[in-house]
Amino acid sequence: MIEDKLLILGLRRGRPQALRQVYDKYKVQLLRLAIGLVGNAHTAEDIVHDVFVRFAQSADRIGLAGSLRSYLITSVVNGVRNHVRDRKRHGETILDHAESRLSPELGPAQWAILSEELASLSEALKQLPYEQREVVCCHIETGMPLRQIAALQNVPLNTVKGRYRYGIEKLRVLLDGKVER
Amino acid sequence: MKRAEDMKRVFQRAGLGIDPDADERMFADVLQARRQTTQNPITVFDRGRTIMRSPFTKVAVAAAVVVAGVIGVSLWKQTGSGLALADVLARMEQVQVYRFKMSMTWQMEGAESKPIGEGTLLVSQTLGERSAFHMDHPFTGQLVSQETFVLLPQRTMTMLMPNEKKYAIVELDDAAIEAWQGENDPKRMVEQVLKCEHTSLGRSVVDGVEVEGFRTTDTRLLGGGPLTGAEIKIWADVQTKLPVRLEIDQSAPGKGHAHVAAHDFEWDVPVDAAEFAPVIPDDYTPGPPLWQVVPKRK
Repeated sequence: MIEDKLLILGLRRGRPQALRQVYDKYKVQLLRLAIGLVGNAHTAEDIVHDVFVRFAQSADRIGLAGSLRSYLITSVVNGVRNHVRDRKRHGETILDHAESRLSPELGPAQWAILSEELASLSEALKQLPYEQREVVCCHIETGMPLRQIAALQNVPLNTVKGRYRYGIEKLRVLLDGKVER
Repeated sequence: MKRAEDMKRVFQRAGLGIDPDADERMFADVLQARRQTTQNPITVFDRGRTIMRSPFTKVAVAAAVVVAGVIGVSLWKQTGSGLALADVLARMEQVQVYRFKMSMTWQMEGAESKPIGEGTLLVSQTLGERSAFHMDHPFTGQLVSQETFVLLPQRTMTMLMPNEKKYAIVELDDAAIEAWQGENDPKRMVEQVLKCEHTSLGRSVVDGVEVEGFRTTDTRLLGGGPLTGAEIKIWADVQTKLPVRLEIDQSAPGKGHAHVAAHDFEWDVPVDAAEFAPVIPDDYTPGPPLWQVVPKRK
């Protein structure tokens, strides 16, 4: 937390290396979260790219009282939600079945290189209803407390606990044989 | 929760690598965005963050926010034709409540301009702000509609999305309230706007009113970014010294041209506090707002 506040202060004072440090510190975590949520590596890259660009543009307005980590994570979640909403309004089937398959193979301009395990996990996550997927990914990938996720989803804590439980159970079934026992 | 622990291990084992060349390109974009921001520090009209994915809707709503912000502001310096900034500022400071309408058109490259949105805003210095926007997405045809209530006494921002039957309520703390009020302070806005280059368009008649026009092409007022051809024009009543019409034009390369107009101004209108009270229908459920303009924090 203190390190993040110092990075923001450094950024405000014109130190580009502070921006580099924020970028390096959070890019993998945000990419993993976005890939898990959206189920498409290229879209996830676009969303995380936009989050960092907006952060760079608005760093002077981000309060030091809050958490930079929470800000970035929430920005990714909002980015994914907007993507999902846009796709729905296009009349397209979204995420659950229709996104292109994730490939662990590297494309010519791909930022994220997925292991086979991550590609399989993302495929399984796509089978979950979006709300469950959001709870599972936010909690496991970022360590966000369920109470905070409840605030993010604007639902009671028990609802989030249920989504987490059902999500985990369904993932376990989908990944049967791959879960370490 | 053994199953949950097992699943956490699955996540931990699923590795993610980063392509170094692509990584450098990504960071170069981020760094460039930072440099552009620091080189264009004027943010007087950036009243907050707009959370939207659609590039077009971002442009349209950003333009709408700009118009809403500009309304408390006069853009002109002494022009030699009677209107002076000090006079306009003095007149604006007397206004407690005002109402106006907005309309937006979009012109795709090689196509005719067509209306895509409209809105109304009611602003009170003491009660807050009420706005309603309806937009017809030019690319997808989707209808975007949202009402927003900023209630200063209750310290809340309420957003209603009638198409989705959703609502969202955000509490505003002291810092957010202070920021909201500060950014609606005409003095502060004028002080910053005066730093921009602008020219007089001379006198003409708009909506049957004798006006003087003013124009600026300082894109910093529109937040910089990938927009080109940005232009703001204002026509002010030479008698009352209050704005009659305001127009913003901006283009997004490869997408088209947006035109936003604020008009039908009503100054010092009588207002009932009940007008600012949101009524959430029983069948609405909580949901994320389509866009959320949050007062920036100091």
